[in-house]
Amino acid sequence: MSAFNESFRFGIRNIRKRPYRSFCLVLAAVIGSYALFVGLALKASLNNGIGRMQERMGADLMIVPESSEIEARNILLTGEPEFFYMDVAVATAAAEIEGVECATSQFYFTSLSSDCCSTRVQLIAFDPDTDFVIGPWIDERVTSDVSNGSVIIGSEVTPLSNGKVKFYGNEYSVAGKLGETATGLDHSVFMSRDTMHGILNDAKDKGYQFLNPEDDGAWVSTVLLRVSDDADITAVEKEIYNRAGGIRFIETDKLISDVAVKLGSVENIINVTLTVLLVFSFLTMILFFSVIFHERKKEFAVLRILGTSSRRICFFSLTEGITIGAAGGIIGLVLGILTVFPFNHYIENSLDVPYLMPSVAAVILYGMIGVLVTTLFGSLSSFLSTLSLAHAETYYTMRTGE
Amino acid sequence: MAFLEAQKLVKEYNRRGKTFRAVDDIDFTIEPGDFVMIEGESGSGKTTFLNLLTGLTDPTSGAVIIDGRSLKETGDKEISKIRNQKIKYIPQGESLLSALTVRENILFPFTIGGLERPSEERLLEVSDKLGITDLLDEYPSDLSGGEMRRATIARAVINKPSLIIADEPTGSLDSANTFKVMEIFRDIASEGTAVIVVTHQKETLGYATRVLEMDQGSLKEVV
Amino acid sequence: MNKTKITGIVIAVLGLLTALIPTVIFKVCEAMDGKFMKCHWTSQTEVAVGIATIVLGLLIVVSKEKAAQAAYAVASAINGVLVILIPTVVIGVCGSHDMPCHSGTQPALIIAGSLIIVTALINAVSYVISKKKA
Repeated sequence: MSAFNESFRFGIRNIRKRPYRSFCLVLAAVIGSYALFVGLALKASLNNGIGRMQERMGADLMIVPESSEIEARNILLTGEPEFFYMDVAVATAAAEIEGVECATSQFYFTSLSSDCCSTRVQLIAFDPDTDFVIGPWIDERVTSDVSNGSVIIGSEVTPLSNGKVKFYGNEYSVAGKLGETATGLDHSVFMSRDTMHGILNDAKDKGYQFLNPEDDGAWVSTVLLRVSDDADITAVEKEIYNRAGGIRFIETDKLISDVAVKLGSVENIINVTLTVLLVFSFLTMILFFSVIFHERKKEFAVLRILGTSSRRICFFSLTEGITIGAAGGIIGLVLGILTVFPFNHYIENSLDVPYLMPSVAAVILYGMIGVLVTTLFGSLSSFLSTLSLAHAETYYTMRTGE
Repeated sequence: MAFLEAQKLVKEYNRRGKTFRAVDDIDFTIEPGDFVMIEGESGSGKTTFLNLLTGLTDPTSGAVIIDGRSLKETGDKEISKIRNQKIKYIPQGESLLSALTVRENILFPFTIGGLERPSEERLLEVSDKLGITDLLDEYPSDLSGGEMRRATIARAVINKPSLIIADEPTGSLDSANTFKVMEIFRDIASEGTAVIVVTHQKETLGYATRVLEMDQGSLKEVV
Repeated sequence: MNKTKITGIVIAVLGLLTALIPTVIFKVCEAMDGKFMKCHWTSQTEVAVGIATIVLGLLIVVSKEKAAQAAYAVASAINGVLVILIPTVVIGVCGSHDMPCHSGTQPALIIAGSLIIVTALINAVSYVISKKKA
């Protein structure tokens, strides 16, 4: 029987013979590994989310009605359905300004939540001819274009069981699905202006009047602009404002830096909680191992008497520490997986900041880090406790006070 | 050559700033086959002396020489090996490992050391003699004080070591078992093992080939 | 306290969780415009299944017959399957990921149900093994 085998078995026997203590120790390791895994996964998802958001915000500048800035931000950040509009003249004006590379307009309105068990979603009519913000992110699944009355759905929109979506009593087939953007667009449904007119008419029939009875083609909710690199964005804003009043500008860079600030505070909370839990886990393990080994001073003395070298005794206790740390680490990891994956959307909805799970490989890496760290905690705390005993002369003698 | 020799052995402890000499300049030798009994009042330094002999405690000055080698020059690993294979120490009080059964306790020195496991016959022979055969698969927590004592003795004698050192081995035994244990020690001594027993029980002194008395750290030959 | 009784206690606690998840911990959606949605009925049913599971768990704890305990365990496992099927197949929850019943209640119930099944099977399997040994 190899020395490793023997000390492993002896360690396991000691762990099993003292279920309560072992349970507390494993629990400490579980907390450490769980906190580390969930904390790292959350942080990575947040950073991933804002990164994706930055990447997918196609426009530099967004023009919205003066009174609707907050609503527009809600649409972009959380997908909270909103409805507002302004005169189409803004779009025409903006397109003519020097420094504006692309300009496209969109019209925002909302669905009903009454179609059983589907939340209200943001409906967005866009112009496929000028569009430069949605098109690039449509996944390859597009089967037909949106001109024939089908729609494109955001990644978080769940179609009905027949694969269609339903608004105001009518069903629409899905032409494509957007990739995840970590923005409110994930909760939106995109369509052509023609389709929009049809839905608006259905809504009117049901008693939901979005627009005045006038020609709704003359209204837009927002104008999205891409400004050329050498143009001064403030000058562009000024120029547009001079031509069409009653508007507000939302700069994508500023929007993202606002989100980054909010994200920073969420991250701080995660960091603090993570640190506290890790320290708690480590201290608990050190404390418990010290108490255990103090109580077991006599047992170590017996091991010495029977011819176990100091190194071997350290090895025995190290085995206990590693086993407990690794076992707790793995349990914590399993619990973490059961939190992060099934409750992915729940976490996303609660955090109110862009949230996008990183790749499975990255998540596996965090899991391994968690297990590794608690295993290290276990071995370190058991080792430190044994070391403190090894230095005490009393450790060798059977009778205390001699 | 003596198997074990102690030369001018001194052990001092510090107690609240005062130096206290637990073992005071002891010279001592033991030959194979010797059955030495040491008596003395409690606190006279007997246990410290035994700890020094087995290398569990380092002396303040002087030397312990086993098989011609000073323990001072022997590393922890080798001293441990000596304790594992040649010197069996039966300390005072309970010294069974609580996580292991009686059988596993008796065989434990062989699982951690290099010596070959004793045969099942040898195990049963010893356990029969000590009356613990029925208890082999019990855990120490289910045993009485006397039963634990006997299991400890079984652990020490099973492989006929070079030296057995026992610190009040029969303290918790009745007189019948006490004499049985002494007979085992005497038998094993007659087969060439050196035995050192610390005892309070005057009636057992007759088993010894030598009797020593410990008094305030000094050792005197009585018989 | 033997291991069988511990599984009984664990099953009872998981039963309690099953009843609490849709009502307290991950509350399902409120009625909309006075109309109850699917998740409401899922919630009601899960409460009933949860209570049944609590009873089965306690029966395992109090019963003295090993065979009866194993039978209750098997019944608990079936309950565990129900706990999973109700929000996924039998009744379901609301369609959107944004609804709390979909993002919270459903996964929580699936986990609770799985744990009930695993615990109950540990009990039942250990009974079969002990029976084979005897």
